[in-house]
Amino acid sequence: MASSDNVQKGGKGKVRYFFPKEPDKNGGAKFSFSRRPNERIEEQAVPKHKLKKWQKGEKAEGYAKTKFHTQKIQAQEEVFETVAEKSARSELLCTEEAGELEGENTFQISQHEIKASADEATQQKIFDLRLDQFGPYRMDYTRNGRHLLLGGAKGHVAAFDWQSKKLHCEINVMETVNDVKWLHQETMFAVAQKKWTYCYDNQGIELHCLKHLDSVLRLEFLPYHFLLCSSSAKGYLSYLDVSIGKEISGIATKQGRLDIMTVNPQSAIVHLGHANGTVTMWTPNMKEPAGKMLCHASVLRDVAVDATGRFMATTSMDRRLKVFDLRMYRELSRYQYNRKQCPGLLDFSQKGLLAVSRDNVVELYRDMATLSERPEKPYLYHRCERLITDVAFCPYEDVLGLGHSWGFSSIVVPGAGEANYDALEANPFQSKAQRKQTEVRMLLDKVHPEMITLDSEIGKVDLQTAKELQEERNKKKYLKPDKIDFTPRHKMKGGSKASKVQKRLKGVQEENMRAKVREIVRAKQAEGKFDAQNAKRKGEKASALDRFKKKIV
Amino acid sequence: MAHMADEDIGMESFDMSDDEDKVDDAAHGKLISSIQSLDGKKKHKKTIRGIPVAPTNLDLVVHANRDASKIKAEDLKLRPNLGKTELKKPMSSGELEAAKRQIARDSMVKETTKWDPVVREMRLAPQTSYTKREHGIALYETLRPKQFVPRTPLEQELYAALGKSEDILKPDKEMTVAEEKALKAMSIKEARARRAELMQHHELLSRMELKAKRLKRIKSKRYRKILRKEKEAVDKKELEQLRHTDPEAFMERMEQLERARMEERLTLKHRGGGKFSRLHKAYSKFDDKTRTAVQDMLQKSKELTKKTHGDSSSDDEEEEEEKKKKDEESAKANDSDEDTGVSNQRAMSVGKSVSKLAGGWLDGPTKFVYTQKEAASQNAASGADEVKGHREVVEGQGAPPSSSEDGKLGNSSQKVLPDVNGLDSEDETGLAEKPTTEKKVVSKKKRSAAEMAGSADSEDPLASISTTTEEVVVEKSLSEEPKSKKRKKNKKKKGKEGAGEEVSEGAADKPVRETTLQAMGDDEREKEMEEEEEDDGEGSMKVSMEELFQDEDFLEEFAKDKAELEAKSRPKVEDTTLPGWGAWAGPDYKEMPKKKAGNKKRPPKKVDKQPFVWLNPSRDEGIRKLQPKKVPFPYQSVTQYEASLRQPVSRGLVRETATKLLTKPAVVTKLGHIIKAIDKEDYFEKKSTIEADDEDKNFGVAAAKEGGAKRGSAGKQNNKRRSLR
Repeated sequence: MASSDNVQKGGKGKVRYFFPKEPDKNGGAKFSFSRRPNERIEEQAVPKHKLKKWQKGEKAEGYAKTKFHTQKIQAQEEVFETVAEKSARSELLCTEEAGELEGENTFQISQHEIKASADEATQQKIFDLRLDQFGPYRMDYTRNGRHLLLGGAKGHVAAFDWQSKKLHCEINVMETVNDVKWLHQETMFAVAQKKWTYCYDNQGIELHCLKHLDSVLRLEFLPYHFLLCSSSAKGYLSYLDVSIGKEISGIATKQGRLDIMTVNPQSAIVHLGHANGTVTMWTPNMKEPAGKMLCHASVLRDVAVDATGRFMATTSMDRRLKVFDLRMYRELSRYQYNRKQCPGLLDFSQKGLLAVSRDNVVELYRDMATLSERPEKPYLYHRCERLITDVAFCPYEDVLGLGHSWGFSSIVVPGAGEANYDALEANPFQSKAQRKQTEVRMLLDKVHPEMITLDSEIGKVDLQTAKELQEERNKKKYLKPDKIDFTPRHKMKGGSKASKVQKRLKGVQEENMRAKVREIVRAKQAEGKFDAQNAKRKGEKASALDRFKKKIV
Repeated sequence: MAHMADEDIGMESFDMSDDEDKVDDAAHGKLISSIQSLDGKKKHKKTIRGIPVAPTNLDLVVHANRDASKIKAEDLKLRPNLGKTELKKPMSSGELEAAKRQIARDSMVKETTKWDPVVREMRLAPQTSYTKREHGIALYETLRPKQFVPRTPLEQELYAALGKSEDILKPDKEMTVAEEKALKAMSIKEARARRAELMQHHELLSRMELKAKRLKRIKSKRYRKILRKEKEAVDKKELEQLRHTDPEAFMERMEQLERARMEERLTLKHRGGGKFSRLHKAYSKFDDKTRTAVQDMLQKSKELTKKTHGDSSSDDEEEEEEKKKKDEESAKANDSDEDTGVSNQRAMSVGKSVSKLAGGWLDGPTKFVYTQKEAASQNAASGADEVKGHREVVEGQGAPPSSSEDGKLGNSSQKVLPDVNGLDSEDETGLAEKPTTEKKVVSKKKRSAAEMAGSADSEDPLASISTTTEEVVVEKSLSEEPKSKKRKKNKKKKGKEGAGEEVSEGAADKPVRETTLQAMGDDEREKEMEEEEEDDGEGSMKVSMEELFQDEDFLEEFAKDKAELEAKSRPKVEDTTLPGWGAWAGPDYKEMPKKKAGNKKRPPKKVDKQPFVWLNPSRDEGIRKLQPKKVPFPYQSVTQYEASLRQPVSRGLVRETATKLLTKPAVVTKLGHIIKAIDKEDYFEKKSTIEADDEDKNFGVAAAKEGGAKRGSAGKQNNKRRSLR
């Protein structure tokens, strides 16, 4: 009877009954980003250059096949735009700034000076490990830059958290060690030993002996594909899927001893350097190289690819250091060393700094790839006591690790690492639970090795097949011809303006149309001739079967 | 015209008025046409050829113009009135069906297309949330019809009489006066007892009703037979009784029965079941006449019983009978209702809207009807909030700090390189120049100097291809006096020459500038030593490392390799023709030089733009298997399709907020939340056909109208919100 009461009361004619809500189990308090409705804040527009960084490419233009879908696509475009805007705005949250050494002749600043002036946390990043018994060292940092793996050529293998200096394990494998590599996490690592390759856990317990990876010289790991790449002294390149323990692909490169290997972190292409001055690029999907470049007319010493996957640096015995653009496969810049000095090992940092070692000296260069300016002098300079045998930047830290014949030294290079880490990608401070979570996630997100390509073809249409199919279809007369699917060529300097592109497209379409019309006219003319002839003939009547004749439009 | 004709007939002296009439007609026609042409549209009138006379008074006209005495045969001839009197041919049943179907279809299409924009809008919406919609039971009150106003005297009288009745329910009260009085008169105990009694009675009644219904539905023939027999028996008894008590009524009844029997016999139900016909059938075996008679009879009955459309069969009759029975029953029920009394009727049946006592047409306001309703207006309001909530709070406190990468790039480009080139001799010349250009020259000079010193071997062969001109120029510049102006000129020249060479060679590569790196930061002493070495030991140090490893063959080797690989990837054309095939193969056979198929023009050999790069043509084979083979449906171009895929979605690749935005579910539902069909009223303005009461202020119309308007606007709001989002 509550309803009638309500009716009596007021002019509202509507009475509603609702089932009461159950009380919230979590107490009802919720955290929300939403703004209070009355609050009005005028947002400043995001600057265009910042927005452009987050926009992933050109907008979709033109109409879809139906009006409905056109609207759908436009709505999607709007979402993309907001995503870009939000991402640009959230840059505000990246509070860390990259360090830098300012002034002229920064190379004159030694590590001692840095240590003297820097804070304590930085001071602890500069250290040397004197390990002079087990010979030249190879090393590797984990993806989050927290853990370090050292492998002495004479069998000494040690894994430790280099920031807290906490040792995970230290073993002697009683065999020559050619290379060491962390697998996807700090729980496992691979060691290329004299004969075979072995996997150990972080306790130093041998997990696997990979006998088909024999006499391996260099190891690389592709974290998104879970592939352990190894190049052997016999010219054998192999891809091992560590998540299933299966060799995905083994390639006899026929290129001799493969002691130079690096990985393009963007495309997961393996670059191999050879003694004939060439760099070959490999995918696990082909027995032949996907590409080949003659970089030097001399024996190569090292190859490195930067974090963006755009630049490749090479050094060779002709005392030159060259930087190549991997999008164009073109040489960008070339540096000549003085006589007696031959550049050796190379490594790019996350921010694009290039470390070049020569003998016992390591030099760090900035902006090697930019065309506008070429550094003649290094950004930083460091001299070790002995011959440097490995150079590697530590991710998310301004630290360069150097493996040499007398152990390991860690030096600080301001501005080398990415200042703001993405905890979902690689978290230097991850807990054990997070590590486990990440492992599961990584396994779930594992990328199929078939996705490794030289050109980034993912998300693109197979144009060759598409064109063939279209041609085939357009040959059939009873089918509605496919519309021209002409992808406008990209022209530089205003040539790719939307209006011009449209014009070009129009031109092509018109041409095609004209061709079609010409064809039709010709056909009709021919038919007209026949018709005239037929009209002269007698006894030719319209047949009921005429409807099945081919109609010419 | 008809009217005029009537007038004509009415008039006695039509001879005279005829002319006037004609004039009037013309004028009238003119007037009408002028009126019709007022709106500007010309109307093409169909002119009828012949005598300009209206057909109705044709004979009169005829008579007027001729001698009255003479009537010719032609005048009396009836003209066929084309089209007017002729009835349309009735449609065949098939056509009728088709027409009906067409109409049904059209109306259905009209009904359904009305929903098209709504459906479209819902499909277009990026997200449809059902969780915000209320899903409980909503109660609505029906509109109150306008109160009856008596008009005719009978109505007024009746209304006056009934208005005094205490049994009429007043609109704002729950019970009639009589009911209230009765309740007041009774004590609680009595009232309860009465109520219980009434309830019992009702229960009984409803049980009876149910039973009757059940019985009526029984289809068993046997049961029906028994029933009939019973009935007959009862009738017989009654008849017997009547015979004694009331002979007249008895006779009447008997007559009635006889008549019923006759009627029954008249129907064609009884074909061969009778005793007579059975006997005849049996007899017909032996007698031809009877046989034919029987057959005739059967045939006749068949003819007669052939079903035609209009015929009402015996089944229909039965139904009619049943209907009658029903009516009687219901009448009885009404009677019983009357007996129970009105006072408690309301309490019994809340939903009953018809009070039978008042005669049906004096109905009071109807009570509540239970309906379930989605509250769209509230939904709309909450939706608006939601929209606002989507925007994140980002307070614009100036531009956020630029990314470190950007900043660095900017710095580096602006930075002027320090000039610490101690070895440089030209520095001392003190020519004021921009440091960058200076450096270039310096480096070039150094190299060229080295060349001149005789270490030409160390020159990179790769570089030598592209940088020969450069060197020449540099040499030139060396020979000349180092003056800034000249240098600039040279530079220009160099650029031109370089460009020209490029064109001629076809190689797109610009000569890569070489920068000499120096050993920095080494000990001073060492540097000095180096210098010394350079100074004095040129000859002795000639065989350096690079010379040891220098190999001119590298280039050739690579070119050869590349050619081989390219040849491998090219499709091979093998000549499969056998020797002598298609040619004379006699004893004097000579192998003819092979004809090349056609004189096709070979395409001009492409200039290898990148002689030091080889890309495997089949490098995309693997990924091509995974790529789409054509542009999928809604997209019209490759770029459009690829643009739709350009944005990564995963949490690992974009920020969390972005992921949430990009993977917004299309439909949001909640467990246990009932999703109802759309309410028509939310989308279409409802035309209220019921006349609403104006007088009653606190009830009904105004509020209801308001409500309706609200709902309508809510619907619109809803629409608006959707389109905005």
